[in-house]
Amino acid sequence: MSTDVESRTRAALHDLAATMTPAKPLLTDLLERAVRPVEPAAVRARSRRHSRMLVATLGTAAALVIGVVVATSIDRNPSSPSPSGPPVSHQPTTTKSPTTTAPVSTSSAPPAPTTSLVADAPQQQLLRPSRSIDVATGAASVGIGYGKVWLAETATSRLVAFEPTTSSEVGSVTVRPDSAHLAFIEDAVVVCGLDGIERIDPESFTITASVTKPCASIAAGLGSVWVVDGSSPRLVRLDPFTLEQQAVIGLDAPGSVVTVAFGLAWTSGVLDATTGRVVGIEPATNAVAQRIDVPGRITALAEADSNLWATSVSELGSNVLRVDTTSGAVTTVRNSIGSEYVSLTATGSVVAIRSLSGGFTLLNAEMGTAARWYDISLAPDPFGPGVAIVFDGTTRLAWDGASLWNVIEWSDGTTQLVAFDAGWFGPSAVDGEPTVTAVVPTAHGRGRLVTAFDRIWQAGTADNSLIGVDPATASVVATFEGMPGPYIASGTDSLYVCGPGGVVRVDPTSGSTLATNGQQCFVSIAVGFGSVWIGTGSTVYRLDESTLELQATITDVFARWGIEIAFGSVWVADGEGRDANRGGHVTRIDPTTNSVLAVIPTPSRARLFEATDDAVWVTMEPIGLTEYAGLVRIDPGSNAVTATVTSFPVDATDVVSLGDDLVVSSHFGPLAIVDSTTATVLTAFDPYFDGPPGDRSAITWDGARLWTRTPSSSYLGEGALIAIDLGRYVKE
Amino acid sequence: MIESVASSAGRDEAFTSFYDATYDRLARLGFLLTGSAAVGEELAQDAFIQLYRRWAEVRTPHGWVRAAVVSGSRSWWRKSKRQPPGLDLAADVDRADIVAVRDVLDGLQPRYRTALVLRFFEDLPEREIAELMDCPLGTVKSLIHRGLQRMKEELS
Repeated sequence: MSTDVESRTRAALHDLAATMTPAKPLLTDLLERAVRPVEPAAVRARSRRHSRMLVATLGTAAALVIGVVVATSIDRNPSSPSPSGPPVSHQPTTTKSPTTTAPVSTSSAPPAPTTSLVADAPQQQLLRPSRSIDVATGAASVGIGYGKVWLAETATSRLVAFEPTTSSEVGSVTVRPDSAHLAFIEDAVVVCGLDGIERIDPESFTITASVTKPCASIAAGLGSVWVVDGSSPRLVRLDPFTLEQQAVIGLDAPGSVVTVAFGLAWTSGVLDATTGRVVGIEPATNAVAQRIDVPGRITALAEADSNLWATSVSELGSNVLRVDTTSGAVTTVRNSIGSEYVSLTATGSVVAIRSLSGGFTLLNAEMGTAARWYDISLAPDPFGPGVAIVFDGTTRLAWDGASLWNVIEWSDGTTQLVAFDAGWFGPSAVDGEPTVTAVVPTAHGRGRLVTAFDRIWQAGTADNSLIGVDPATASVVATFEGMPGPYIASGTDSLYVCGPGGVVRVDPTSGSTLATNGQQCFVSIAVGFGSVWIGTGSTVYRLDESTLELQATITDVFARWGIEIAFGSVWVADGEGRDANRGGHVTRIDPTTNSVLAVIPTPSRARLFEATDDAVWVTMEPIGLTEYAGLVRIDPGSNAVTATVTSFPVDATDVVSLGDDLVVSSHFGPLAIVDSTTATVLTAFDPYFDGPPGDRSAITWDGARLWTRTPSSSYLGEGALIAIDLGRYVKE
Repeated sequence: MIESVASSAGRDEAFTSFYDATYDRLARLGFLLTGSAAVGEELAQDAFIQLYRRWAEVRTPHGWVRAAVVSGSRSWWRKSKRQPPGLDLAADVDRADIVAVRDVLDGLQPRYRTALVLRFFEDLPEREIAELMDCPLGTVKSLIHRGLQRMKEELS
């Protein structure tokens, strides 16, 4: 790298820093905080920003009051960085009401306490529709039912049906003007708008019932059709066959959207500029069963993975919300993608969100993290250059089990009904492909994962715990504290954990310490030949497996990453080569003499090992952005690299053997399955839909499932261990 | 209580001098690490508050507060990722290199960003960066190498 780039980078960084004029508090003011509990920095900053936004937006004394309320709510956010602040419990503001008609309220109740999760997708991708249908401009909404894709066209006052695979129109019916909302009930499609509601026979395309009632949102379920009109504080319940009114249920505020989920009819209203309310109606009594306050005005509601998901808009911006209807807890998805979320739909565990700017975000509803970010605003083929998405107000989404349908109005005046196929939902949507089958919340750890003593073990947590997970029940069954570091190996009857604090031998049942040695290790630890082997940078120490007493010292060995016991030898990865720019080395040690048998050059710095029947495989650190990164095969007979696998998306870190195949992990990219016979990548997959970069490097195979972990930004807390069924890639 | 703390701080000339001499640079370090001036300020202030509590026992206060800001930024990235989405930059800044470095930083993963900032803003040696980032030296070298490659592409 040229020094010119370095000097320009250095100068530019200093110049960039100089553009900031720090606000410097008086020392006395600052130190006032030293004697009271410290708020997390980012929380204060966020609160201050939000308060400023409120003041700027509303500019009234009332706004200041609201700002305090909102800032207070945000300040209680537990997911903000809190290096020293105490954890804060959260009490949801769910209330139960026995009354059939809820009183109209104009009071501005504080919004429900919200937690945040960060849905920061790993990379933007162009989204290319697999199918598109030219439709009239003014198409208002799209829905799926009776094997057809239904489109409500307000411009032509038509309800049109298309066959999804051929994209051909199969029928239409003229409906009332401004009919823009759809619902599907037994034997009928219900379409509605401000002028009224109509029931359509999906085969004959005839109107079988009609009623003049304004409608801003409609849902079907629980034996009824549910309607809100967007202007009056009531939810209207209709007979699904006759559309006759069954009940009128009073709300706290005019409802904006309605859906049916978890045995209740849910609607939402706006309490004030910053607060909305989701209300659940018990169908048996027409009583308000739940009230959950949320930030902003709800623009869409959908059910996914045992929660309600919503998009909301307020002066503070746009949010994606997860509403736990059991506890009333509201989680705000702090999504950096798009600016205004206007539509949302759900399928199984995937929540799709559309922003006005033309971006789709897919969330993994189970894990609460971003799956993918797709931008359709850049006019990919086949729309041609210069055509961009425009605001069209027709951003309803629909999911037909295989594709996501959306109406898009383009800047050239055309409007299309487009389908985006499920391939980009991830392999879990496809039979036989790797699928996440368990998520176990744990403290976030570092280092390798180890399968031993019928447990999955993880160390390296912030509190120096060693965590054991029962793979059968996918639950944490052991937590042993006081570990010296994040690196684990298993022996005959013990676990060995090492790190900066030395090495300990741990009873896997009781967690008791059986032996210790103060020698620190880097990444390297392995057990074999009656010894524990640890690498410390330039020296490998051999310790007694039982007592951890020093048995031998092997010097002049680069040992900063993995150690493996295989083929009667100890294999040591350099992790940091003798010449950093010219590849790395694997050192093979003879345990009978404690001497170096061979130093095997590798294309890049060696990381972690896995031995198979006839080879030792070791992952390689990448060189540069695009140069070598992958996996090499070392023939133990010749001590030479006999195969290389380089087609990994990013950098290869850990590797485990499934028998014929290997699984390779990476820090920032997907997992890959490698055919060890042909040294080719069979597939790469990213089954756990986690956006932020993080330590995905650890994997272990329990004989049935692959285990890895999420980065720490999951809403599940500090992290999680994840079990993945590798599907067809596991051979009998 | 506030008065007593304030007066004790007033008596502590060394801490006051250190605060006056270091605060701006530390806030700017937080700004570069997180992309947010507000968060940068808050990280710096938190670092000084923590330092104040440990003033008697900290031997190298500059390194201590720097480590606190780096640690705070790491927590911030982990839990408040990309809020706000990009580096705050004065509207009248138009120097190409500044814009380029900002764009590169905005596009980098936090680890790369941290390594670049510590290397070329704080001028720390790679080994010290490795200690601050709690990762192997080789990883730091890779992070800086790759970050510079991005920078080279952007600057060219």
